[in-house]
Amino acid sequence: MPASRTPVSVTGLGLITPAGVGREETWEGVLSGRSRADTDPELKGCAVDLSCRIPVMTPEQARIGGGKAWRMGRFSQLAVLAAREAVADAGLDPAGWDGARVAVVIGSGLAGAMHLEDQTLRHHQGGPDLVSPALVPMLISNMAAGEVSLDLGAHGPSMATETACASGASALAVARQLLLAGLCDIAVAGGTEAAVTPVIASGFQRMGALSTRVDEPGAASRPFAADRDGFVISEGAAVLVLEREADALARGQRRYARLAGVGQTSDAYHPTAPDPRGVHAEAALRVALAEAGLGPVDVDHVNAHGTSTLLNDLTEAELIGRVLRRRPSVTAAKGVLGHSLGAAGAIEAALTALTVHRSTVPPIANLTPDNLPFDLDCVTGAPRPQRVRAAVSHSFGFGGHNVVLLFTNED
Amino acid sequence: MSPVQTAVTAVLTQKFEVSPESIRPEATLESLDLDSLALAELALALQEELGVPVAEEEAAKNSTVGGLVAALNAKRA
Repeated sequence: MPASRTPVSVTGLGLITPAGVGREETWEGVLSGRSRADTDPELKGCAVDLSCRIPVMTPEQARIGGGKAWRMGRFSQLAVLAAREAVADAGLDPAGWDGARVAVVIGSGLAGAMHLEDQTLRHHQGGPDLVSPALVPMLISNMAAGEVSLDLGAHGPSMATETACASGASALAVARQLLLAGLCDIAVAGGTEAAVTPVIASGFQRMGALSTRVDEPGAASRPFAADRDGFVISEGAAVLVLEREADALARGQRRYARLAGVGQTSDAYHPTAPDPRGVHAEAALRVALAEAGLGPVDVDHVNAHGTSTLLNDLTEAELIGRVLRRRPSVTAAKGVLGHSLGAAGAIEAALTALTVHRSTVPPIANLTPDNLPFDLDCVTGAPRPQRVRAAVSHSFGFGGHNVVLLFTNED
Repeated sequence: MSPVQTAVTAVLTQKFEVSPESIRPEATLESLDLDSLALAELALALQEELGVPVAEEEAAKNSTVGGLVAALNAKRA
């Protein structure tokens, strides 16, 4: 059996998103199809002051413990909390495992940018003595992986992935490779982002990426809708536990889905715009299919990147229509959750695994059949019961990074 | 409790999650699990809270809570 055919299973999920703190709250919130976008007081004065925020956490939900929270960037804290949920969900106890065989791979797009912004202001106002000695650990993008490994006592390979809005998906791709190469037995992998700040939001707004529907926040994120005009910036984290299927079976652990194939390509076209022909995104999709030993007709469901920007959704819709000829159901979680940048690929991978496991496809927020300009089977209005045997989750990042994750059911 | 004592206790319990009962005058900062990064952050937090500069040696590993409070009280006098 070639290495890429060794089955890898998803055995644990942890989620913190604007739809809720925790896996089940997030799932229920995404199934509701109601957008979580709102006017953000912290973005007051910005040309676009919309965001999707994680609900305010209770002290219990936010508890890092051990007097360590002060030195962690928010993106690292979210990763630690999501990782704990995922590991517990996988039925694993870090007190008893062989930490040398546990890998941690966590991606983030902007990492601790919010802390750099904050400390830059302090430096301007009060000089170097006002800069926090914790700035660097709060800023650098590998620190989510570092703090998760420290929290879990994981001594295998650990690292960050950085592919902008595909970072979380890249983390899962790398984690799967570590498992297939035999470099670990358990991989704790995902994405995290907490960069909703006035400067970052303005950066996206100035490049024309954000929806300008400031008077209708709840209607702003509308993937695949004819009148979409950009994304809503968001935050969140998702961590998945991956194991070789044989190991999960041996310990009788419930498996959500199999991560059966991964395709990774690069557009090499433009720093921020997708190649309008979509040929390299298509190549990533075909690599993922080939790894799983499947063909385009086998795909039942697509969890789209679906940012709600004009160009992404057009290119992606054409890709789905061109390659996946059996009209798979399509959903796009960014309608409800907004675009959590480097976390999005992992959040959507977790949701895809849940869709496969629970035979339920969430609807796309703010999309109605009469407002869909593409010949796609987009799920709208209400969740759709569907037995899904093979599903793909697309992630595309600035820099031209294309990552396609292919999940199959475990039957 | 003096304003300095209140500020030291608040920063130690809130930011660094030190249990209130372990904050005794004779306790060293090291015994409260503060490493060098935490000590630097403690000095900055107290400086902002109290409006007086806090020197590195005033909030060092072997500084006691009582010694730190006394040094800061003297500065504010």
